[in-house]
Amino acid sequence: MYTCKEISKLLDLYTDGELDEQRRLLAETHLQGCHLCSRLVRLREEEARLIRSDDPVPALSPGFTRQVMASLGPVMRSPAQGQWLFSLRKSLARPWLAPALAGLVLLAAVSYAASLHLITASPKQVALQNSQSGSQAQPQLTLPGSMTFSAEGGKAASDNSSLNKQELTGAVAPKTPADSGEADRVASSRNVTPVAQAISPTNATSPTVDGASDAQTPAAGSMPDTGTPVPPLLSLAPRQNSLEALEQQGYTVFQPGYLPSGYTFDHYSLLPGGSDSAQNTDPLTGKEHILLSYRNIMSGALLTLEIQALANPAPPPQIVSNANATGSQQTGANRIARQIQKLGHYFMLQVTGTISPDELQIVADSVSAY
Amino acid sequence: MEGHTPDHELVRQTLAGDIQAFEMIVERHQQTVYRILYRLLRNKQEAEDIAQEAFLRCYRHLGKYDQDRPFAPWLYQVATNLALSRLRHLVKHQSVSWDACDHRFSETQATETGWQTGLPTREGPSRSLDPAAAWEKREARSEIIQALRSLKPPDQLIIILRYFEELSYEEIAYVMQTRRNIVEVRLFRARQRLRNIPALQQEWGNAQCHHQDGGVTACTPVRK
Repeated sequence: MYTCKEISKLLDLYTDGELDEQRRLLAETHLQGCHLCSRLVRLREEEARLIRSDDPVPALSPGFTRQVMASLGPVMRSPAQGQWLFSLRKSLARPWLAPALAGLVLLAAVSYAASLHLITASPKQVALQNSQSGSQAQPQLTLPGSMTFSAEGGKAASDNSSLNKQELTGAVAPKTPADSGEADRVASSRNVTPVAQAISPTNATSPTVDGASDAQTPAAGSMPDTGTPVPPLLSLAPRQNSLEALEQQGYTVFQPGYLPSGYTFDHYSLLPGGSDSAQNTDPLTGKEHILLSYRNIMSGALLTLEIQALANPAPPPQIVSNANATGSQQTGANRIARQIQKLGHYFMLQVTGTISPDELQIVADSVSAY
Repeated sequence: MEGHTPDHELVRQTLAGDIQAFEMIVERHQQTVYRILYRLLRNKQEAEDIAQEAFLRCYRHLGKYDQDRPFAPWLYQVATNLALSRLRHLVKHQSVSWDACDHRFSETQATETGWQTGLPTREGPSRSLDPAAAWEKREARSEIIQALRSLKPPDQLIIILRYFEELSYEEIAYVMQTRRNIVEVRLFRARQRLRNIPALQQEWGNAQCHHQDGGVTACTPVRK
């Protein structure tokens, strides 16, 4: 049975008839034995009566109905016209519907973007896929607005080595569609991106190899699928923040912490293979290289840092830190190559420049992840 | 016939194009809608205008009415939304405070225009009170009315719907587009404010009872 204190809290609900059956019975049991609580109930009822009794309302004007019906005249259309909208809205008012629709829209957007080659797998993902499939490297690199070319990159799995060799040089001679009828052809592809904005959209002689399973189909119909190999290209995108965009796409970028006097970052480019033929023999994946170029604003001399991801199945456990000054004299430039590890991935870094070997050594020593 | 046709049926007929059915709806609900609006707005003309607008909107948007729910609270919802918007507009553009919205109708006006009570009272005002008692009663009522009008319009609306129209908490929640427990809390607070009227405090105080062996032995009124 309720106590008086409990009843006092329930009095309003009781007099309003809002108590459930069980609590109402308990309250009535108490009220039968407690004349003061019963009196409080009567006071509540008196309170309600007082509130109700003395609130005069002027009479509604006669002819109100007529006025209302007359006002309907201008809008005398069937109200059922809005019913379908309400039914639709009601049917849409389901808690799971909004997330589901959002997911569908997102999926559609992603599919559309993928169809436009706006989104591709990152090099790491490609490397992973390649290592899992055991096939030759099929690097993809696509950035928004890229021009995509397609051509065949090889014949059969048995030709992988030569294929890789071709790819790594970036000197893949694309075959014509007529040449691509071999049953077991292995598609290899590469999209030269405008990162490498150095590639002119009108440069029909700079094809890449499309990695799609259907190597016959040029992704961009305006570009031929035959042409001269892609030369190592330098980008005309000098914006530093584009390096961030590169990072966001999964590329690991390194930068020298030290630059000789007068050198500033000029541009970067993505190379479809090694920067020279010597790279073809490297046990590399053929993944695109990143070539960062620094220019001496006074003399115009270039200092480059080439970054190449390695798909070494048995990478050395520790960073190889000994500089390997080769002293390449191809163009009177010196080169230092070294292997470096970052987050379990291995990279070949090559610093090349027409500066003294000692200074080049300092630059190479200062290279760290961007 | 009119009184026996349920609202849902009239709504259905209206949606089918029967304008007479909607006229019956207006006839059936106009007094209640008008009373609610008048008690909120305290102005006969405005109450009638907004009632008319409410029926107009009701007709326009009848297709949106969820026929799984009772019709009258939906109609009240349309009407009271208009009235509350009107009061907000007054507060915003005429520098009228919520509290000042109540002085728009005087007892003199009520006497002049004639008035009707909201719902038939259970007991009805006693006509056999002696003059002193009648004066006291009138004073108490005046205080109650003033206290009522000092509430914010949404709280006034809750009191109106509960006391005058005797809507359940659930129905009030539907009219006010809120939850039942919110209605319960707001009604409690509004009542607390009403019960702070000095003349009525002791009347509406609580009792303190003594219990022994599970039964009530004595109760003492608590005067605030």
